[in-house]
Amino acid sequence: MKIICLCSLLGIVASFYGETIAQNIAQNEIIISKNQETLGFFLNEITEKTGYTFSYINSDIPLEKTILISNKLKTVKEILDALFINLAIQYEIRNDKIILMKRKKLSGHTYTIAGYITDNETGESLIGATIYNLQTEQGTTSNSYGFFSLTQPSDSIYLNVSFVGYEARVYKILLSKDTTIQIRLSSGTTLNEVVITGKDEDKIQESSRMSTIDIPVEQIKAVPAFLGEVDVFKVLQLLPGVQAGSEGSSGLYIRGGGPEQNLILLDGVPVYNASHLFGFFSVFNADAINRVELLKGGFPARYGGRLSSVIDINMKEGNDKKIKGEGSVGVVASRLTVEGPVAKNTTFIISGRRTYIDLLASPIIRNRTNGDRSGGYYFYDLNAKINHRINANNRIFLSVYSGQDKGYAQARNANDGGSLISVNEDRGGMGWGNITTALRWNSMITSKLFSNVTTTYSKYRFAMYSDFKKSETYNDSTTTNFSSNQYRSGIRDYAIKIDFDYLPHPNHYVRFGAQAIQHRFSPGVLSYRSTEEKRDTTMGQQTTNAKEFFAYMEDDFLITHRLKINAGVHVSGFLVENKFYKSLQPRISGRYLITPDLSWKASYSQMTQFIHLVSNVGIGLPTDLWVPATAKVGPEHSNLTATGAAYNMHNKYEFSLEGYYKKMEGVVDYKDGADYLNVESDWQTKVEIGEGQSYGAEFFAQKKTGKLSGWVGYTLSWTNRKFANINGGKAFPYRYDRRHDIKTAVVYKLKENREFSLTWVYGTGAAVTLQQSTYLGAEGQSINYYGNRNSYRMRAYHRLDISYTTTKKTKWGERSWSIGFYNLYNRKNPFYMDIGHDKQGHKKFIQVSLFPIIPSISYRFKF
Amino acid sequence: MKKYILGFIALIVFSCELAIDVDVPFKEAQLTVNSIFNPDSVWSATVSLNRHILNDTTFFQQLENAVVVIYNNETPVDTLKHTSRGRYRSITSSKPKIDVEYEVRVSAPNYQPVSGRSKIQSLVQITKAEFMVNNEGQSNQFGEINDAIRISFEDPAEVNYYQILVETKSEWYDLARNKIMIYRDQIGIKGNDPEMISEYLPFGDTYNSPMDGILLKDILFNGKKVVTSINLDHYYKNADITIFLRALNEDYYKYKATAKLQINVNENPFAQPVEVYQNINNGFGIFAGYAQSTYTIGYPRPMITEINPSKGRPRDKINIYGKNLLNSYVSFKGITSNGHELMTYSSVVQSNENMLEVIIPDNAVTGKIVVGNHGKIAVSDVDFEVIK
Repeated sequence: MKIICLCSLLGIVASFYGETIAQNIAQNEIIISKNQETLGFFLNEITEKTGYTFSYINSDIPLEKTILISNKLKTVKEILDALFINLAIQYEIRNDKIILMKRKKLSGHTYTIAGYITDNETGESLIGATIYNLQTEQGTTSNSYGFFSLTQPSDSIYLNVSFVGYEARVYKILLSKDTTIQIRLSSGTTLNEVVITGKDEDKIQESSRMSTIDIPVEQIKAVPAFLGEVDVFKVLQLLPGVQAGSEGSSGLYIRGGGPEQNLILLDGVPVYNASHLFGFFSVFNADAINRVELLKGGFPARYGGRLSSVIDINMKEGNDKKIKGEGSVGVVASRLTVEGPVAKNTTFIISGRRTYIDLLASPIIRNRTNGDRSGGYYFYDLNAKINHRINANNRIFLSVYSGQDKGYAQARNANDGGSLISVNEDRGGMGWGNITTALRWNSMITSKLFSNVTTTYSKYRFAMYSDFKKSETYNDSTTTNFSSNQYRSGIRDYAIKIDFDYLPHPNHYVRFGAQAIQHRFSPGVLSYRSTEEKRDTTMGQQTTNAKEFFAYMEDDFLITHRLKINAGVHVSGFLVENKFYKSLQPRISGRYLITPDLSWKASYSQMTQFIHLVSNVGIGLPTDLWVPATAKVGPEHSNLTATGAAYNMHNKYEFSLEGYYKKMEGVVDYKDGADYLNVESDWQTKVEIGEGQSYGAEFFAQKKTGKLSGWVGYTLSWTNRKFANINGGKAFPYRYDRRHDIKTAVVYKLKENREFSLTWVYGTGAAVTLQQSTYLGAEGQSINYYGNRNSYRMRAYHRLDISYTTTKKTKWGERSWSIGFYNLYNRKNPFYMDIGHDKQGHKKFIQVSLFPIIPSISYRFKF
Repeated sequence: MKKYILGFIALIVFSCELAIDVDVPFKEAQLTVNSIFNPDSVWSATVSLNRHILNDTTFFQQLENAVVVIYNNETPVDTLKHTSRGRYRSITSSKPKIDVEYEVRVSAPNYQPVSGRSKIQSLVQITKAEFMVNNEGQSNQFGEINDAIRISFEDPAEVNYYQILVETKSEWYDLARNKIMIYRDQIGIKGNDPEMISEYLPFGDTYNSPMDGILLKDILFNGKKVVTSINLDHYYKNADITIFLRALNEDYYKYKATAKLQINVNENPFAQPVEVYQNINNGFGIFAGYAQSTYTIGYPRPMITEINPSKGRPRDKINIYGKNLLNSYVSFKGITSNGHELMTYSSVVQSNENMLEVIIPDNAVTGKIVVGNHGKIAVSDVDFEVIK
């Protein structure tokens, strides 16, 4: 273990980047013959090579102590800094002497150093960067806005700042008053092995949090993408504990929870339906994203409102130095992102994506049917954000996301019968989309207190229509009849939220805040209009308004250097139909360091969810209905306990092994076969309320940087559901219950500009219900008998995807080509099963598969 | 609209099928017993065998040697006899009673005996049914119209289940057999008011299949007097309409509702399949019942009292006297050029309640005269003589 400590010291030294001290001798370059020796040896050697002698009190200086320094150090200053950095000794060069003295404990005063950490090239906030005082070994991490605050004894301190994938820096600061600084880190050239230095608070074994994974956006973009379309959610599906749902879907089933139990936050605003194209793609455009974090458990008190997970996505803020752009052209869609400064303290980013199958297909259909038929399908996304720095302590942001899916078909049929000419026009289609808007004000109230006020507006809407128009012209008089069916559902929220980060002491990171949301649910309204039948009817449940509140407080508390806990409480309430639901949710998670590299962790969280998603297909169709908890159908609750170990090997590999048990209560499911579009009756009569449980173990090994990076995950899990009126009241396996599940993602940089990546997934077959026998019904029909729900397993699912990317610098920037293959070995993975016949004409179960091997190509550019 | 969704999915799916072997556990075949009883009919049942889902045959084996006994409180009340192809029927005149729990026990050599229990809950009378005024439908090209009727009944205090069916009845004269025939036609119906909306009415099917009518539970009107309207799908107006209000017992309701649902979701690969409710222990099938009340919105029957003159030549005018004759059609026995006999319509010159003036058709021959309106007919007692 000592060797590892020394190695990390070496790392610190290697990246040392201190302030200039204007002394000539200090900048002289000398060569030290050894790099591991006693302090006395090094002092002698320096005296020999420089002629400067050391002056010190013997008892203060541990001359026998063995020290390892980097052999890359050149100047005297670098060597001296390296030698004394961990010894609480300070030096001063006076005339021809170097005076060594014990570092003075200055008055008992403490001061706070606070500021923001950003990327040097782009100005993007670095979220989760580590700031730590090398002498006191106390530190903190930057929050979602890159803000940090660290209170330290008044002293000349060495502040080490590091972030994964970036070159660490050490700042020497004389802390004699509260200080604000802006720190900019340079990204390690193309994800080279940047040694994570010092005592990194964010290291897996040291964090008090567990069941939390963040994936660098660069890695998200590097793994093979289905049809070349980079998809954040599909990358999250490659993590242990996350199931993908059915083939090709971007749904996330986390530790046995459904997609409705995921709190998807885009810049802190919930996104209700995160799918495009019936769930084949998720709505997030990777080019506009700064950071993605997935929490599967051990939820800090600041999150709430969903049972199973939090997916916290931060949008980029826009380059503050120059206008930059990037984009891609792919098989499915094209993307373009432009960002840059607009004024001195203002930056923007705007990012769009659109599919174009319809643009290509529509003229062909029209042409081949003489204009009688047309149809198409498209989706688009638009992310935009403006970020304005009012002054060093205040910033405002306005971010907007809008995405829409639209499919339509129309047919025209004209019939010229001489005196009677009739024209029938049939139009139908559907569309759905989200809009989220957030206006946010960050303020550093004092150097220890950071506040963030956000007002948000978000809306999800789904609509389907079918119109029929018939006009008949008889003897020059035309009669036109029109009928129209329209079905709409949606949810709209206004919310205001205030969050505070309070850092009174390096051992405490306190967060508290509150939120109020005004929801309006429109869970399915059908309107029917007909001129022929003289009707204009609107059916279905009208809108319901509900108010949701929550407040939280948590403290990330370093009790001893071994024991750190994050304890908090989340209080929430929901007011609907004059019924008030309240919930007090304790949250605790902590780690105990067994060795500096290995920790034991445990967590417990309670979560409450006041909104339900009723879905009868479970694949994330837009027809799924968001509904509030009501007087009849109460909220959902979950209890999640997890424990496990985290190990960090050589600061390159992170390992975690966790076991968890989750109990969910009040989950809803449609009654057997109830139809989502049965809007004419109240949804409440169509749902069953039950419970679920999920337990298992997850192993995860991750390497975030380097020539070879990626991860391997394995999950062993059990998930089931139980409803009084489903499956005879017996528990049955959840559809996405997977006993074994293996996920692998590897990115290999062959050269600076060539990259190869692959992913391989394996999972036990999905649970399905199959007919066992058939019998005669009372009306003479055949009735199928199924037996227990989800009692069969489809065949195992496995798939290998690869991609190869080559990048080239051009006059205007950079371009890259990616080719990839989905399902490289053409595995016929089961999608669903049905009854059919084999070649001999015998009845057999037929497995229907969706995607064979699919090649893809995409072109990306940056300028 | 579901077709749009499936259609869009189909657009983007490159599906591929593979027949695979699935080990479906199947013990030996079990008895399937279906017996739906009501107080107006004698006991009956069918007995058959279930079959493995991958069995290639398309029929169910009927059992002719089963013993089917109905019990009440461990006392046999009726033993059914096999009639044909697995059908069993009471040979006594005993009929099921309301509020008595019955048990059916069926045994057959080589198969495990099966049994099921059920009870008819109550009979609910339709207190009134009438056509809704101001809702006169327009007829389509086939002369069919949409219309609405209002029905009233008192829902008892306990949980009740209903099936509502509507039927029209029209009579026609069968020349060859010299007989009045009745044609019954079930009409597609749909509840209009929220309380009449079936929990299981799928969107898209504007009207339920006529055979199933409206199936509902009294959630929204328990213990209340119900006055509600029902839309009638295209039918020929001007005939008697009979409304059947069946008070189903819970077993029958659950069976009907789930059987319907199973078919509805069968074509949707994403939907969770539906298990049909059944209550036969050790076997399959349904033993359930209902009590039915009817209400007919009828028209008076036309009547012929006198034909004057009693004979005539084609194109002569004659008068038919009687009752309820307004707007009637009149037909004579006729003959086609190739000698085929048929009823042939005559032109009605004028009509009122008591009299019709008609012209004898060109191809009329001696025979009965039929007068009809509102689906009902009157046939002359004696042949009308046509003088050639």
